[in-house]
Amino acid sequence: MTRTQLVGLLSAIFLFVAIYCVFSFAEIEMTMLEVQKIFYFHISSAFTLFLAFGVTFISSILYLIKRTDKYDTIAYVSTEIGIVFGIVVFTTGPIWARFAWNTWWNWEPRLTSALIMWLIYIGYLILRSTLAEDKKRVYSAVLGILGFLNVPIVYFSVELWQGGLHPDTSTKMNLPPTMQTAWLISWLALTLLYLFLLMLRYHGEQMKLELETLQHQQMGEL
Amino acid sequence: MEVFRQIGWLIRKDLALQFRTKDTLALVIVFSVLVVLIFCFAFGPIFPEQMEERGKLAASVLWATFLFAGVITLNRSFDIERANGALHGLRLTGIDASYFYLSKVASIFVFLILLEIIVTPITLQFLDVLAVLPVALQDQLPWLLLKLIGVLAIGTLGFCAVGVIVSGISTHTHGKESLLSVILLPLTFPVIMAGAKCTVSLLTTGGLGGNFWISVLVVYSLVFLASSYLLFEFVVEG
Amino acid sequence: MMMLLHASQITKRFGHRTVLNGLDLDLQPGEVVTIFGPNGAGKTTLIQILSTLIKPTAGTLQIGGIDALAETLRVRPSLGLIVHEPHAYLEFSPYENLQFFGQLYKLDRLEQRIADLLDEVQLTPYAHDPVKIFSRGMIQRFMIAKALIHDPTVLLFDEPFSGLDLAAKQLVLKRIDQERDRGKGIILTTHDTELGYRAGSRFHFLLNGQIETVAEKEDIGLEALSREYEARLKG
Repeated sequence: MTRTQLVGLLSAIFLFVAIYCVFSFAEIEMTMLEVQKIFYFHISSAFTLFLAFGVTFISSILYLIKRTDKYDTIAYVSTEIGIVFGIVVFTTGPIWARFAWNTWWNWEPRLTSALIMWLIYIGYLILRSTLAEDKKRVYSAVLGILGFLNVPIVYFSVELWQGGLHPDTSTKMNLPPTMQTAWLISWLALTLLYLFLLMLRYHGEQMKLELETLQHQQMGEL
Repeated sequence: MEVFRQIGWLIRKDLALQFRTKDTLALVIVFSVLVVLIFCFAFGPIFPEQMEERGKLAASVLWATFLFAGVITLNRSFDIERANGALHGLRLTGIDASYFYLSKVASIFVFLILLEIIVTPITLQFLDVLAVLPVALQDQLPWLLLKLIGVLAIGTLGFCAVGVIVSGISTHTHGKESLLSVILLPLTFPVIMAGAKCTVSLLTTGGLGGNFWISVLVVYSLVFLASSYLLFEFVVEG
Repeated sequence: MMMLLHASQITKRFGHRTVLNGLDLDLQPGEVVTIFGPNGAGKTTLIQILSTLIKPTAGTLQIGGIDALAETLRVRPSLGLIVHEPHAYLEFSPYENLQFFGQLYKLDRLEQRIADLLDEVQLTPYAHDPVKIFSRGMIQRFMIAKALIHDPTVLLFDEPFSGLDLAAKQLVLKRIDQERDRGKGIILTTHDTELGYRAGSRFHFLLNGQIETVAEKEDIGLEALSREYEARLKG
């Protein structure tokens, strides 16, 4: 079994365990009832989103220093996966908000910073797809760095913007033990899933490059 | 001192090109006034009674307008560098990429500030902000406008700091100018947010009401000036 | 004698397309190296690499004894480049362009140099008109002046004769001879065997991403060179 398959298997197991924990093990929250369960996947996806773009940021820096294509590929596929987790965050977020605060969208600092970062990296992917082959790696790396530097400033600004009226989000972490466990396991499961997708996409990109090289060689021979 | 002389020549070149082709300045001014008018018409001729609300309207109109005008200016400025390989001509002189970055930020900044000095009074008049200003502020109107331009200047510096490096990249997408906004607009959200807050505060109280928002603008400008200064070489040399 | 330019094992790949494949090239002072090649052979890419505008995928490049890939900014002022793009601001007049680039090159006695160069390329009457209203031939003459403003030691010409009228071609040829006699090194690419032969002192073919065959001018006549080139093109 390859490493990728191993990680895939692990993430599958953890996902099942997470679903069990979330729906059967964790106690039901008193005010929101079952709807609260969306929280486990919402927060875990948001964590993974930040992780994915953080990986883009680090590998972009490494690419500019070392100039090995490996780091560029990691940055690129990590961005793609981050975008996908973003879709999860921005569909579960409004559902949560609708029941918790009776509104579909709430300019909560974390949600807003995640949204802006998500938009920046969508721009990154769009721009990358239009750049010429010899430029796109370096330019993507520069954009990958600039995009992430923006995050703390955005977060700080939105927090100020809210004027501190919003209830402190850190209270969410004061969960009953069963909820805590369910949350930790779903977070672990999604992180493993991210890792699995990253490896899968990385090998996919490698194979694509190999295929293109082979096709090119064949065309040269004909 | 050689450094400043060279940067000086680069800035001089940029400004000469921007004002030589008069259509750039005319285009950007007309465009900005049109955007302001669009907001006015969309809002209808009757603006909110309260100064607070009207100040918010004016602030959002001003910042949105200057953001769009900035995107056009950046696109045109880098078009000139790409056309006929002028940028390669610059590279061949052996100057440091950071000189090119600093001069570009400076020249776009000067150009946009000029635009803002022209368009801001027009906007305030169109939105009828001056009429509802508190009496205390009416008396020191020039001073207020000066402070407003100061806030716009810091915001514009932040915008230029990140705008120059991003349009240095997007100019290589060969004519797909709209791509610049796709990445530049989300990157400049903090500028808009903080700039508009400062503007509202200025228009309603005459002061900045605490230092939070102005420090966001300053921090943003510094962070992106420093990082882009370091990264620009990769954009020029690949 | 020190070599002006020494390129070794230059390889350039764009994605999967290998344009240059382990190419070697030397240039001595007082030499004019003509590189013949059909369209798409990689002549422009070669000139761009030699002028440090793009980096090779592999290989080394020395200009004036300095590693041009490591100390790029230091070697650039010794290069003069003429390619199909003017590398200048067409909204500006020739005078303004030369003044601007001259200042960036930190040149002494700039006014005098500008006046002399404009005189030589016969643009003095148009010194203060914007370049964009010029004809193709005038722009080409302006490009010669712009490339020579800083008195470079290595001149790189990419298809310098294309689109020129007879008088302008004569001007380019004359200038190449002058620079050669002053001990400069010149590399020029062309697909025109006649003009390339007339200008050059050493001849190469660029085929399949590699430099092929070397012949000094003494050893080969125009006829033989043309026949050889035709034969190589057919494979």
